This record gives sequence, structure tokens and C-alpha cells, in this order.
Amino acid sequence: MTFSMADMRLLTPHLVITAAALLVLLAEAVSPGRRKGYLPYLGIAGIVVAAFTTPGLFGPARSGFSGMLAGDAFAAFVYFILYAVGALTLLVSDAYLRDEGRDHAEYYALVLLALVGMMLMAGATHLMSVFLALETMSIAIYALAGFFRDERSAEASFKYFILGAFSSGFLLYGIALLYGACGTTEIQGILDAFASNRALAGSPMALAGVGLVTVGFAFKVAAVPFHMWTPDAYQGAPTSVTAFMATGVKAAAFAAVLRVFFVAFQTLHVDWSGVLWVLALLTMTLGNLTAIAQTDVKRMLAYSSIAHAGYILVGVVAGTPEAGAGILYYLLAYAFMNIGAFACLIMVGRKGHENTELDAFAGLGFKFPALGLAMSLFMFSMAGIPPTAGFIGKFLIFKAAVHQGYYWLTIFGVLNSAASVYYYLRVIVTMYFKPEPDTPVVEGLRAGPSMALATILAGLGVLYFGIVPGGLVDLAEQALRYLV
Amino acid sequence: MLDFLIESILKVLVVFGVLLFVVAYTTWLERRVLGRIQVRHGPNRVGFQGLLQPLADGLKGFFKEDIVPANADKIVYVLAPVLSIVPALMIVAVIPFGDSFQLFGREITMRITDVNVALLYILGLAGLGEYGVMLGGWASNNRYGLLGSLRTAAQMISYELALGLTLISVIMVSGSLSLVEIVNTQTVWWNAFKQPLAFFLFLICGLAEINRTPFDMPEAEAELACGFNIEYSSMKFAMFFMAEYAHLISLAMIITCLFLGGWYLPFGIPTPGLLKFPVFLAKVFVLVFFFIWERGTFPRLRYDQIMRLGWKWLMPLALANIFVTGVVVTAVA
Amino acid sequence: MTLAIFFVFAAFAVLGGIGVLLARNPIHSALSLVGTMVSLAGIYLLHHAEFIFAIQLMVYAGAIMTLIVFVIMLLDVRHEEAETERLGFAKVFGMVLAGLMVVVLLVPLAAGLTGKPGGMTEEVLARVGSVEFLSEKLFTTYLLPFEIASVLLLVGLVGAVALAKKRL
Repeated sequence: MTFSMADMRLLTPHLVITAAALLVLLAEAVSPGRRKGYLPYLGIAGIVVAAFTTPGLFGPARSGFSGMLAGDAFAAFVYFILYAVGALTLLVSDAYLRDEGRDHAEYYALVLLALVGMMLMAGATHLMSVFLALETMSIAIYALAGFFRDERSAEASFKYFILGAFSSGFLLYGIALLYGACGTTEIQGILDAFASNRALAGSPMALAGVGLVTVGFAFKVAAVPFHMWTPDAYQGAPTSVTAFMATGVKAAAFAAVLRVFFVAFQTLHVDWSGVLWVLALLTMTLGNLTAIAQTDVKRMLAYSSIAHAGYILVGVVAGTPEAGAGILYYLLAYAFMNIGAFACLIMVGRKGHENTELDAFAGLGFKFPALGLAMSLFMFSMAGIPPTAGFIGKFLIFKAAVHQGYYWLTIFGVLNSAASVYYYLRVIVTMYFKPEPDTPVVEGLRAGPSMALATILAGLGVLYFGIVPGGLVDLAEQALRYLV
Repeated sequence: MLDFLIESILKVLVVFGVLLFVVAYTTWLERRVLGRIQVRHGPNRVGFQGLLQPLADGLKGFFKEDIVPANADKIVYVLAPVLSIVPALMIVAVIPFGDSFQLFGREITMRITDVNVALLYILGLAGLGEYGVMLGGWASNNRYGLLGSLRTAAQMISYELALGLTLISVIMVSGSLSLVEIVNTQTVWWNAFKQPLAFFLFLICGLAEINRTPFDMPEAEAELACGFNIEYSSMKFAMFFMAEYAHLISLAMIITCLFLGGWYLPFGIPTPGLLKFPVFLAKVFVLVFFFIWERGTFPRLRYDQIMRLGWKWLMPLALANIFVTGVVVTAVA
Repeated sequence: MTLAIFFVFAAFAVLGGIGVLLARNPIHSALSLVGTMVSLAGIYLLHHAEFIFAIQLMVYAGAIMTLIVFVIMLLDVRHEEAETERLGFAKVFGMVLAGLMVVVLLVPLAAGLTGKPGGMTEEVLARVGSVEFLSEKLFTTYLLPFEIASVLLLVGLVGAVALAKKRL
């Protein structure tokens, strides 16, 4: 036996969700053509079971499978973010897919398998595992993005696929160079190699490796100038998938970034922080400026997600446990507010018509008060207005950056944040202060119990963690304590 | 070093000489046996019982006009028959025909080379074998030819999977990738007894892999006129033809090594040294005869039936076989 | 001797690569790529990596390239579209990347940079036998990546079905 029960213990959550995905596939195969409304709930059940097996991972860091998989509080924290993302996505998808006539087991299975890939990205402590997990996640997302199989959806899938494959090449090449320089692809081993050999930090091979790994991850988190795929991929993909992409992929990619940059490249902070400083500034600014010019809410949210990646990058630049904790908090907050916002977008659409142009929202605030309230809440949170989780997240990250003396970057961050208020509030203004056109675009809402539940849960998350963030921040800090 | 080189060169010459001779006479055998099955005579005019027929055919191939279609892709058109026959002949390099024997005080092994990963080598070459057929049909710029090529590609990729999976269970039982060692584990019980399902699957997949009836989709005379080689004539056609029979014979030899105990008699009956090569040859002959026999008796499958058989039956069965073999091997160990 | 064989294979690999770029006919490009793949397989064999050799032939030179050729034949693309002739952004970008690649390859040569030597010297490789060694590593140290790869393949399968199957 080459692995022990202790190893399996670390892998239990992943196994449970993989099993759920297989069950979903089998359930449809065994009963074709019958009612399959229960499929997403089978997946959610899997996520809930996995969530129950996870708390044991909090606590001191452990490592399993010959140093391939971590079982630490950091991984566990990210797993919980991902559970929230996965469960909310499945809830949101149910009514949406049924309405569009695309409620197939493959969709739910792919969401669950992508979730497994994301979790492995957060838990992997070996660059080989990180890469394979990233590919598992990405390929599932490529397929999901094209799931509606219309022109837009296919374009989204194809663009994401081509550029994603391209970025994987960068990442893999970077890993290969790091292996050449350090003689290992283990994250701890790379840290040891850099720590024990000062000259290594100046070697072109190691630096090129770090650079290429940075580019690879920058593609995944959609940092400018590696963001070209984002708007089209986000806009063309089914809205539920867009929500999943924007939150889940971001959480997983940043979790991997934290592990790689905060642990493996710890001693190289001087080298990479400058590059990421520029990336963060560009990402925030370009994301926000372009978002202002958008007239389509879905596309605007795509650009806004680029801007949010920029804020998170500020935390990465700071490079302290405090900043890391802020990032974890931000990722969870972003998951709630973003999926909530996309849920609202799904609701205003109808089969074949997404109705995501800004004008479609005119007057909706009074016509559908609950929708107006929810959308306003999520927009406030995204803009970073208290007492929402979005505000606390930004606050934590900027505070950490100031503590490290990144005053200018913080100032740019706050300015950007202020600029973003314009386009977030414009949605609210359109909903409440613009009269509905004579021929209403949105006749009724595509809302079912599951959609309502998802929106309420997301809204509660945004509010709860915005008002009493203490416990969560403590947990995040504990997670980072064991990471670094 | 020098005598090793001479020995190797001699072996290569002998093996390929014999192989080409056997290929030539397999065509005669096939035509005669098919004739009997279909209640007709088959070639019996050239020489005694038509035994000189292969020679006559060879001569005819040389002297016939060599036509290259006007709109054909010239390079690929010429290359295709070569690509078809080279891998077919190269496979023989790793096949052991028998044990070793003493000659002039030297121990001579009955094989060109004994690589310890012979199976991997065979699989690798099998992967290249399909190019000749595929490109031949495409390069002739003929609709029927192209259809034949496409079918070949789909069929070979599909059956290669099941073929490889079947091999895995054999490897698990034998614990080696070397054909000699696999043969040596079968002194008492042949793999055909230990792995009946694998034997059966390998036989089917092997037939599909060499495009033999009932899987002769690339040619399918009734539908595609002649399929991939419709535009070929003269020696180029002869090369395709020879490649087909070379494949047939190497398949028979591989099955003999993998499943029928190579040069050993079954049930642990001791095999005298002198009998080893004849035993091997006899098994190969039986298999070749079987291939001819089934060609005469089985109707051709339809294209979609072939695909369904490969993906929905053979692949899952091969996977299940690996699973069961794994459980049994672990339990025994 | 080994070095001479290496250079033969290397030369064929490079020629194949150039052929991929220069061939006008997609099938010729694909065939050149097959040539490169086969040459690479030969180089692997020189390094005692028999398993990688076989996989290279079966999977890359065999299956993947067959699929590519299959698709080209199915679409019946005889010649590249004339559009690709002009010097577009993609071509310039590709050239820049290729140039960078050359720099990355030349700099270590010029500076005499080498990677950190690992435990697998040629003597060790020849002794342990690559198939046994590889499988042992794969099922002990690298068990988790191996299993992730199996999930990855499942994802690929399900994704292909989701995107391509006519009626789900």
C-alpha cells in the first residue's frame, strides 16, 4: 500500500464530489427521458456531504500523497468558498437550464467535476498537481461555456479554449524551467531551493520560470493585459456558467497563486511584487474604465470582474498573511455578490432572449420590488459600499497594502473603486428612476423556488459577512497562519 | 562485434526472405482455400496445383503499366504503399520464432532482436500502420478512395484502444513486456486458457486492426469498388497487397506468442528442442488458415455496426477483463 | 555512435517542423508533423525511455495525428486559404514568440547554464528499465496526479459529448 487512510482523509471531499458527479451521469443514463429535475439537487447533496467532511482539515498543516496534497486550514477555507460557489451555481442553473431546454446531466456533472478541479488547485502542493487540476477545471469550463451551442455560446467556448490552451503552455513551460532551476516541482521544495541558494534567485532560468508561471496564472484570473478572452467568454457563456467562471475559477486560481507566490516564491517577493504592482494597477484601471462604457449589464459585469481581479492582485502584491486573509475574505464575498447579481440577470431573461441591455432594466425596481432590492444590494456590495461584504473585503486588502507601504497602489485602488460606483449605481438608477418603456421588455421573471433561494442565500451572505465579518476574518487569518 | 554484426545481418536477410516467401504463398493458400469453400477450383494452371501462381503474379506486377492519376498528390501517392509495407515488415523484427540453438559453437537465438519492451514496439508500429492505407486513398483523388481512407482511420483508432486494453491483461498475467518472457510463462497453461476473454477480444480487434474480413471496411468491394487502393496498379498495388498479408502473418505470430504458448506444447508436455520451431510454425499456420476460413464464411459488417461493436462491446469488455484480472492477480499474490 | 544517431533523428525532427510551416497542403503539413513525432520517438528511445517511445508512436504519431489527418480529409481542405498569406498580427506575434523561444534556448547555451542534475543519470536509467521505474513512480509518488489525470480525461469525455452529441 502506498497511501494510508490519513492520505485518503485529505482527499475525502474531492472523492465525495467526484462520486456525486458520476452518480448524476449514471442517473440520467439509467433513466433517459424521464424527469431529471432532481439532478442538480443530487449534486448539491454531494457538496453538502463533502462540506461535512471538510472541517476536520482545519488546524495544523498536514500533507498527503507524498507531498502532493495539503490538508490545511487554507485549503479547507477555499474549499468552503468553492462549496458555496458550486451549490449556488447549481441552484441558479436549475430553473434557467430547464427554461432554455438544456437541462442535461452533463451540465451538472461538468460543474461538479470542475469543482473538484478547483478544489485540487487550492489543495495541491506540487506544481504537477496544480497544473493537472487547473486543466481539469478549465476543460470542464470550456465545455460549460459552449453548453448552449448557439453562436454566442460557441464563440465564448472557443475563445476561452484557444487562449486557455495558450496560457496553459506558458504555465507548463514556466514549471519546466523552475524544475530545471530548482530540481523539484514541489512547492515546499522550490521554497527550500530558493532559500538555501541565494544565487538561484538571480539565475535567468529561475526568473524566466517565475515570469512564465505569472503569465499563466494572469490569464486564468483575467489580469490585464491577459484579459482579452474575458468579455466575450463571459458574455457568450450561459449566465449561470458566467457566474461560475467569474467566482469559482477566480477563487481557485487565486488560491493557487497564494500558495505558489506566498510559499514557493516567498524569498523572491522583491522580484515579482514589482511586476504584479503594474499588473494590479492596469487590471483595476482598465477593467473599470471599460466597464463604464458598457451598455450591456452582462458585459459590464465581465469587465467589473476584471477590475475585481485587480483589487485582489493588490493583496497579492502586499504579500503578507494579513493580505492573504483579506484575499480569502474577498473571494468569498465576491462569490456571494457576483452569483447573486448573475442570478438577477438570469431572472430578467426569457428563453432565447437574455435581456441584459441596460435599458431592459428601466422601471424594474418598482415592477419587481424583490428583484430590485436584491440587485441593488449586490451592486452596492460590488461597489464596496458599507455595510456589505464587498466593502469589508476591499477594506481588508487595502489596509494590508498600506501596512506594507504600498500607498500609491492603494490610492489608485480607492480611486478606481470610486469610479466603479458610477456604473454600479447606474444599474440601480435605471431600475428605479427610469420609466418602463411602453412595450415592456421584461414581462415576467424567470424565478422559481431554487432561484429565489439562491438569491436570498447570496444576499444574506453579502449582508451577514458585511455586518459581522469578525469570525470569518479570524478563520481566514488562521488559514494563512498555517500557509506561510 | 563483427561476428555479432554478421549474425544480425544474416538473420535479417533470412527472416525477411522467408517472410516474403510465406507472404507470397499465403496469397496462393487463400485463393485455393477460398476456392474450395466456394466450390470452385482457384488458381491451378500455373505449375503443379497452381504453385507458381504467386511468381506469375509478381512478374505481372512488375511489367504492368504504372498509372498515376492526373490529379493525384504525386508525392503522397508514391509514399503511401511504402508507408504501408515498411511498418508491416518491421514488426517481425521483435517476434521470437523459437528458442535458441547451437550452430558452429555459437548460440543462435531464433529472433532478430530481443528487446525487453517488444509489445510496446509492436503497438507503436501498429499505430503507424494505418497511414499507408489512409494516405493512399486520399492521394488518389478518388471519392471511393477517400471514403475508404476515412473508414480506415475511424476503424483503426477505435480498435487500437480495445487492442491495447486487451494486451494489458496479458501483461498483468505474465508480468513482462518481452515476448520471449511472455512465451516462457506459458509452458504449462497457455494464456488462451488463462485469459480466454482477452484471447477472443484480441482475435477480433486484431482482425479489425489489419482490416481483414469481416472488418474490411477500407476495401468493401460491394460499396466502394475497391476502396483506398482503387487507383493503384502495378507494383504499388502489389506493395499494398503484400503489406496486407504481412500484417496477417505478423498478427498470427503475435497471437501465437501472446496466447498460444509460442513454441511450447500445451499442458506442460515437454517440447524437444528440434520440435520448437515446427510447433511455432504449426500454430501460425492454423491461425492463418482460420483467418482464411472466416473470410470465406463471415459476411462483412456494416460501418456503423463495426463502430458500435468496437466502442460499446469490445472496449467495455476489455476494461472489465482488466478489472477482473487485477482482482485475481492481487488475490493470488 | 549514439550521438550520431541522435543528430540524425534531431535533423529529421527539425526538417519535419520546417515542413509543417512551409507545406502549402495541409496534409503535407500533417505528414511532416508525423515525421517530427516519429523522430522524437527515436530520440526518446536513445534515452532509454522505451515507454515514452511507444506512447509517442501510439498516441502522438498514431492516434492524434491520424485524427488530424482524418479531419483534414473529412473537410477536404486541399489548400490553405489565400487569406493567410498576408503578414497579419498573428504571424508577427508568432514570429516574436518564436524569436523569444530561440533566445531562451540560446542564452543557456551561451552562458553555459545547466539545470540541476537529478538522480536519473544514463547509467541508472539503463539499469532500472524505464517501464518498471515509471510505473512504480506513477503508482506511488505520483499517484495523486495520476488520479487527477483520470478525472481530467473523464471531463474531456463528458465535455465532448456535451458539445458534440446531437441529442443529449
